[in-house]
Amino acid sequence: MIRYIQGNKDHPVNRGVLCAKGSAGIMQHYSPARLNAPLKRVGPRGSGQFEEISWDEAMDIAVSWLKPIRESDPKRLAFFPGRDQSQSLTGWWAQQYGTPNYAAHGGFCSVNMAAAGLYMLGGAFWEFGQPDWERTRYVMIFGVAEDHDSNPIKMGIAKAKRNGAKVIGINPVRTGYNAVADEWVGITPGTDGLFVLALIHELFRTGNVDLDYLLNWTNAGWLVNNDPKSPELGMFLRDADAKPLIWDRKKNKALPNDDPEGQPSPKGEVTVDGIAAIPVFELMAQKYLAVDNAPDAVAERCGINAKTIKRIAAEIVEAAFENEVVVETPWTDWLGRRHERFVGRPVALHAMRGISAHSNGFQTCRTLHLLQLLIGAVEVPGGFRFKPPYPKPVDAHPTPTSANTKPNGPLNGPHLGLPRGPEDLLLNDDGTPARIDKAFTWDMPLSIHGAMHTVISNAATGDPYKIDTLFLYMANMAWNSSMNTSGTIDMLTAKDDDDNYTIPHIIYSDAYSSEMVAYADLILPDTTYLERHDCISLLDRPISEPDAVADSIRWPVVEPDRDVRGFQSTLIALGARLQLPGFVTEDGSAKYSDYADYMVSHERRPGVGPLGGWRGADGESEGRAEPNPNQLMRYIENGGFWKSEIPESARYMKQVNKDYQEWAVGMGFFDKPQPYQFQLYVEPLRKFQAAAEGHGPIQPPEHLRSRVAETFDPLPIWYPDSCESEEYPLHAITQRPAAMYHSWGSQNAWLRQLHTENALYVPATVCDKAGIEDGGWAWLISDHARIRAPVRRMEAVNRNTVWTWNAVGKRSGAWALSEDANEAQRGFLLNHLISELLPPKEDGLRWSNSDPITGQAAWYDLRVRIEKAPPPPDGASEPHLEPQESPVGTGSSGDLTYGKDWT
Amino acid sequence: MTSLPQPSKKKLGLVIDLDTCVGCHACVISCKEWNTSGYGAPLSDQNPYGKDPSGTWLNRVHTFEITPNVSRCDQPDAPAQIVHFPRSCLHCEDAPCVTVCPTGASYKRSEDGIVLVNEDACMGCGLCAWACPYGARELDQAEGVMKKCTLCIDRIYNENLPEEDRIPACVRTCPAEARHFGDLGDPESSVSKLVAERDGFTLMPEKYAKPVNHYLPPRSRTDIDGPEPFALASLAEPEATGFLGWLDKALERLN
Amino acid sequence: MYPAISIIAFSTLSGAGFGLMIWLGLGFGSDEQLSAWVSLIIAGGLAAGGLISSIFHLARPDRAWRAFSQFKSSWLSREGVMALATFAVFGIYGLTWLLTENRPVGLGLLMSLLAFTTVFTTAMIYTQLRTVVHWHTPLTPLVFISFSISSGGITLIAIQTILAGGQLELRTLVYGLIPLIFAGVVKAIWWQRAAHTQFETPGTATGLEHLGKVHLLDRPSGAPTWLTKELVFVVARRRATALRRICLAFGIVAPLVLGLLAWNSPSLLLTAILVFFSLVMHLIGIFAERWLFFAEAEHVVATYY
Repeated sequence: MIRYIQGNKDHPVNRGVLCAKGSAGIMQHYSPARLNAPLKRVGPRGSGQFEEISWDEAMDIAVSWLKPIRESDPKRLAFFPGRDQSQSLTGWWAQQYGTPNYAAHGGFCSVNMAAAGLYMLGGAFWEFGQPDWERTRYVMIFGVAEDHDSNPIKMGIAKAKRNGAKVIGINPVRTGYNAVADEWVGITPGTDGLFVLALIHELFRTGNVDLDYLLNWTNAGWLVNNDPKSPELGMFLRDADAKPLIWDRKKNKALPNDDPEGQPSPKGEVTVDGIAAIPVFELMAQKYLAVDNAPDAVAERCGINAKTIKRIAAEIVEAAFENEVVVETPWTDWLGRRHERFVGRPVALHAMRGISAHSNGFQTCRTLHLLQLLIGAVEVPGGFRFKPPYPKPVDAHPTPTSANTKPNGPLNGPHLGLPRGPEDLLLNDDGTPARIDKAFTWDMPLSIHGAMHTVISNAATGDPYKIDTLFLYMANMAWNSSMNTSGTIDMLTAKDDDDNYTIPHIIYSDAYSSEMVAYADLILPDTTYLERHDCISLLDRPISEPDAVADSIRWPVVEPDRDVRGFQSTLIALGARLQLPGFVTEDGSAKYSDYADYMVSHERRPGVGPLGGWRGADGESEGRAEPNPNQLMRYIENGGFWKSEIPESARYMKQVNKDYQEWAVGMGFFDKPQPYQFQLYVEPLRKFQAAAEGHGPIQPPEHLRSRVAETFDPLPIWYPDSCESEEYPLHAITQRPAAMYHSWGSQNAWLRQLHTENALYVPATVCDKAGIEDGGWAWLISDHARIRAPVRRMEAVNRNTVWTWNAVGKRSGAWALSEDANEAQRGFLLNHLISELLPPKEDGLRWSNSDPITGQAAWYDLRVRIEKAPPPPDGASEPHLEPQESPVGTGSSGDLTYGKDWT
Repeated sequence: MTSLPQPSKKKLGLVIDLDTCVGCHACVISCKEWNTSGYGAPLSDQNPYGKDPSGTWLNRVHTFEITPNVSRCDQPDAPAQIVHFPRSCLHCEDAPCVTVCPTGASYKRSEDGIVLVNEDACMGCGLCAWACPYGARELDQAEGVMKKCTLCIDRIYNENLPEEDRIPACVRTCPAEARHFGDLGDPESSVSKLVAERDGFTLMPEKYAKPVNHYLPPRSRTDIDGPEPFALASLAEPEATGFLGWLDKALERLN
Repeated sequence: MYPAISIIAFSTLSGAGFGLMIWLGLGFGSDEQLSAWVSLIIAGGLAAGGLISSIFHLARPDRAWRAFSQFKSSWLSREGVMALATFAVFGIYGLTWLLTENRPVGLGLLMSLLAFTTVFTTAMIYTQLRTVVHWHTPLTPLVFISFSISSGGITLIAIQTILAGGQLELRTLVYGLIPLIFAGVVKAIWWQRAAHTQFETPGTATGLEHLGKVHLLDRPSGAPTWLTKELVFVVARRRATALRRICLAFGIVAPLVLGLLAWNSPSLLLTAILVFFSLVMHLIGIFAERWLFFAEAEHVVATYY
């Protein structure tokens, strides 16, 4: 019996606070939607008809599907664990299995954010870093709703406001954090990059950039080949050791970038060994001083007054340069130069899904990083700070892999990595994609998180090839996690001429009776989060803070009262049954008894395992040391987490800080120091662009050539998203309510009372024009579909934007709700309006509705028009899909009196 | 019993900061979670997995939209704003909910001013909820007794809890520092100081209920109504050399 | 406010019962035994029926007895105590009357006073609430008392006339109809005031008026709650107007007209029937009045919704 869930005051991240979801954990745990036992489908796919089977039978079935594929053609397994916090295990499992077809949900989540940050800064917004809430004077949050890091952001905003900092929210909708921002900039969706470039224009126009920071800590002084006839045009000039060159403005000669005496020049064309070259800084100045980036030129499109843009630029300058933050701690940089203090520019940015989920999101996010770098506000006091194991340069990451070590053997590296150029794409010799999701192809060269959102449609059409088994975990692909929900349902149930499903087998693991459950053939039921072990691992996305490395575990506080098992333990057992390398001992028996055992005893590299605390035989070592069998006990004694402070001299400028680099090697983040300069100008992008311009052996197909050439600009740019349309003048976006996390809240008796149904929030002016009243109904029409939804009139929203809460709408029969539940009747999804493909181009081809660089699903590019609709006779929104049968029945309609038993 | 006691010197209550409340409902759920198994009967829920689920809650958050009085709708600089507004018992000094109670179930404690319901004496007539101007009382549909915020009386005096946790659950969990607990009868307390510094106010004092809880208003937002903000001077205008000229000077300063 | 049938029945029926007691205590009505039996049973029945009905409004009726304890501060408690006291005196008065065939004048006056006070305390339960501006006026007790007296009076006329085989005395008629007109006038004034009451706005209720025009964007919960069903009840304007007409037409005009027709009636049977119907009409009118009394009353909490 769980009585109360309270935050741990000592926890480095949450400091004892809990969000609504955290406190409602009891109702999550006791949800009637919990799956009870392994299920085998007995009715047609989608019917929801299952029979309960034993775990033995379930594992036998899974092995009977997976073993033959591995022996014949491992890529016929597509393993996509969606919202998975154990990717270092699941990825490793897939690698050992030998299928190239593995990724988690990043492709439809925030890969733009991750990729932009990794290539430019060596780390991104989101789990990789955070504003220095304590010292900042000026906080700008772009497109931030209730996404990652929600409690730290709430705490941070409160802290910043308490300290008198100004908080600016740039967001089409003024809810949540934007509601408490001191200023709200109600930007038109997808134009953030344009707005930021106008700010950058102002900085250049007025000479307010941190030249010292740029020349020392970024590649602003690196020389770029400026010879239009050279095949190396746009690449960095390098010396014989492949070190990039700078032009020393004192010595008037080229030097490698790591010369401690070097004084890079920011301007002027020079000739080095007969090659014309120009420093990155001057390229930027030329680009961003152009008048089409001026505030007056962008104001209308952004929906922001030019005067406001200029004022914000002035405020940034004032905060950055008039309020310098100094930390008087001496430190040594990567070239051995001693500095007496850390100097900070107290302007901090944070961005999230609103930036990411556009087809121009990658470059837009880069404009944000450019803004940060120009004022010297990255990895400094008061600015944006990284959390270990980040920052980390591109060179420290692997490149993507799809090749097997031997036929049907393990993959010879991890699936996902950072391509450095076209040579790292995962293409077969004939140019066809190696992966089912077409990640790392010319469609999406930098799809560093894979492209889960394309898997089902690709598998259903056999493009690039057919698969045998689709294995998913915690991803509601038959509902709110897919674009074009109805179409996806059709693909999951499509049959070939022989009346077999075109995706022959679907295995799914979930703890709850989600919509997706009905579309699987075999269900491996997971536990609730209170019944299992978990680790938020250093090998994955740990819970570190800028001043400390930290990771954490979960351990079971109650035993399952159902025949369910933690997914990770199931996967480990499956690995052993399949005799996957690493999962069995030499005699073929299981190497790990369960996930807890794996967490403690697995070593990815010698001495480096999932958890960094209490390592070594005696449990007294940190970071890199041999496993400690009592490690979990020590975590539990410490409240479930481990935290180790970064030495004071190593807390800032980590990417070039000698002390930090050495500390990081000791911790096992990397095996040798990896200092680097931030990349304003990203050469790998130029390599793809050069290929599109006709250079090199690997070039994009003709239909993508111009798109790659235009979008892969090595300097941040803005271009309109893919969906501009006069016929559909409104933007339609969603956000997650703070109290709910996607679909997982509606089964929760307490949370669902807060958001029992969703409404379409429509700007007052749009309501008036369309004659729609508050509480009335509207048709929302895209080029793909139309929905009928109840309307709420709103003022605090961009004048061209309608929006709703994400995933409150439910399918009848799912989540153990009664069929007449509000979520299933009035609730609705915008997903129906979004196609995974854009309308045909002139050449008849349909491009993917995603970022051309990373493949990020462009959810927020959606354009619509609105019309007044009559109220539906049955009061239900449209489309209204047939109810599915619930394999777990419906939650009790009697009173819920939690606590009655002991009060 | 239902007569009000002499005003206590100690006036425990909450101060709610509308400037930082992001409307996340963390306090709402934490309150429900603590109190459903705490003081008195559980906070029940009706039709929890069906149509129109509802239940008893002691703290609810409303979302208000405010359009500026000056009609400047076309000016993006003066947009509508949103204020999240948590609402729970204000533990009024002149609590009308207490004096209307016919059974003596409702009472105000003389020692600290907390307004409570003795659920064993409550006959569920609902009159106290009618008398409350703030909608702070809800009649539990399963137990048939009136429920209201107790200021987590079973936390704040609970010696089994660490001292730092002897605060109401909503305050303990609030991630946005929007909820503060303390003695509003003591002008030197942190909450009283907050009220003084931030122009704290009470709700509808004209209803003569004299609430103890205070709200802190949203701080004034952008200075759009103030003097013209300083603009950045262009480099290009005074000097023919423009940006590159500036660059030379900046480099000189670096050396 | 939610117009709960139990409360409407309570205040209308007990109002009529106590109103009849007021009349009886003042010595009105025939002294005959049959009349005594009928009048007393109807007075006691109406008052008790109303009070029993009110118990159905309680979530925990088993604890209703506790309501007598707080008469020092609570109008609801006072109402209970006064009702009990009235019943006690009514019992003694009735028994004395039936057993001795004499109506004790002093006890009668006391009974009238207590019944009057009981109705007053009933009205004060609502009048005291500052949260409901419509109710918070001395006019509210006046409405309750005048309707109590008029309904009691018309009940008495009906009893007398029917027991007298259709004989309607002018004196009786006048005593019955004057309070009726008075009640109609008082209610009209009450409505007039209600139409001009100043309500809180979301701006004043939240204290955020200085920021601009405040309006609710999202309720704190997705579905209706006890609080919204109880306090944020909204009656359609058309429905309210129709009910006001019913209230005036049935409650005031019809009994007047029927009473006058009965006075001029050619046959005794018709007189009895007309008088009976004037009572029925009046009671329907009061029901409508009381339904609206709740349904039209705006609770200040509604400004948060």
